[in-house]
Amino acid sequence: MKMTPQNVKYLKIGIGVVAAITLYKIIVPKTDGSGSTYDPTGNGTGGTANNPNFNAVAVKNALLDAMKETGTEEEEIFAALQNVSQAQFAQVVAAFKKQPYNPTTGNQYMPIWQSNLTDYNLQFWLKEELSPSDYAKLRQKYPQYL
Amino acid sequence: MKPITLPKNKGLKNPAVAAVASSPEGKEAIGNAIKRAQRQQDVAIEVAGKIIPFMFKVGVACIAGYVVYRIYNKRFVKLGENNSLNPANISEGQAANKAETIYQAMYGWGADVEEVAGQLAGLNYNGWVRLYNAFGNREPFGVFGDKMNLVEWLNDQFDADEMAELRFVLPGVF
Repeated sequence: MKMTPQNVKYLKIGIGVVAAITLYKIIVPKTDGSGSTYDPTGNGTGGTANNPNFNAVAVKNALLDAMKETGTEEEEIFAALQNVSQAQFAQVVAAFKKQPYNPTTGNQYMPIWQSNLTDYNLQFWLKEELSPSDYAKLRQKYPQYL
Repeated sequence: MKPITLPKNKGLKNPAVAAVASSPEGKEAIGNAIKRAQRQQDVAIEVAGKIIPFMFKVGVACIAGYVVYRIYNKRFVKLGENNSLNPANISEGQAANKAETIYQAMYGWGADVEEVAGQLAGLNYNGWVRLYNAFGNREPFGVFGDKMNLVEWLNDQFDADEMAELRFVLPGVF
């Protein structure tokens, strides 16, 4: 079937429209139309979408429970901090304040020759309780505080 | 006693058939049959001459359609930045460098999860979008397989524990 001049004209218009749409798609940057105001990474505005009911004291208690006895529950530490952003971690550090700690035994047991334990902040506790590689993971997430 | 065998006279060796075939009516019938066969053969050739090019064109169109579909289906779809959140905390150039570093850390035998985690750490959502777009679709290691985007590469290279580690560093985006 031979194309008529009108067919050719319509074909050219069609090709032009497709080319224009393709160019538009390439040139104009795409934007996220979800309207979400939460940054799920925890490194931007807002909290984390997964943890809107963040409670610094609850996280602090979970961390202390995971570290205060002999031995360390590494998985509990990471689970407690999973959805805690850097800004929220600052609140956890503040809530933790300083807690009595025995660096020699890695717990809160007081030797009989001592009258009291020295208090240490969360950063000290984490560094003492975690392996260097695990501590490095935390430091990647909270570089401003660890 | 030897069994009696009858001669096997078939086709034109059969005297009766030979007689019919040699008669004028027989010759005419044979001639007609030959013409009919010739006509049918001509028709078959004519039809084949039309159908084969048509089938070829259909085949080519199907293959071309499949190729276009595959290209469209496997195309890289960029993520859009969210203007309601903080601007990306890395530049386009930094995103390109990070994407290349991550690719090199995963390409080949084994994958360096620490290196990848280090590159992902600290990104905000729009930074992640920029990195994801800079990574695009990249060739897999080896001969087979389709190109993969960053999330597909991560899932392809790391086991559940390593993915948990990466998600701990950068939650909520993959």
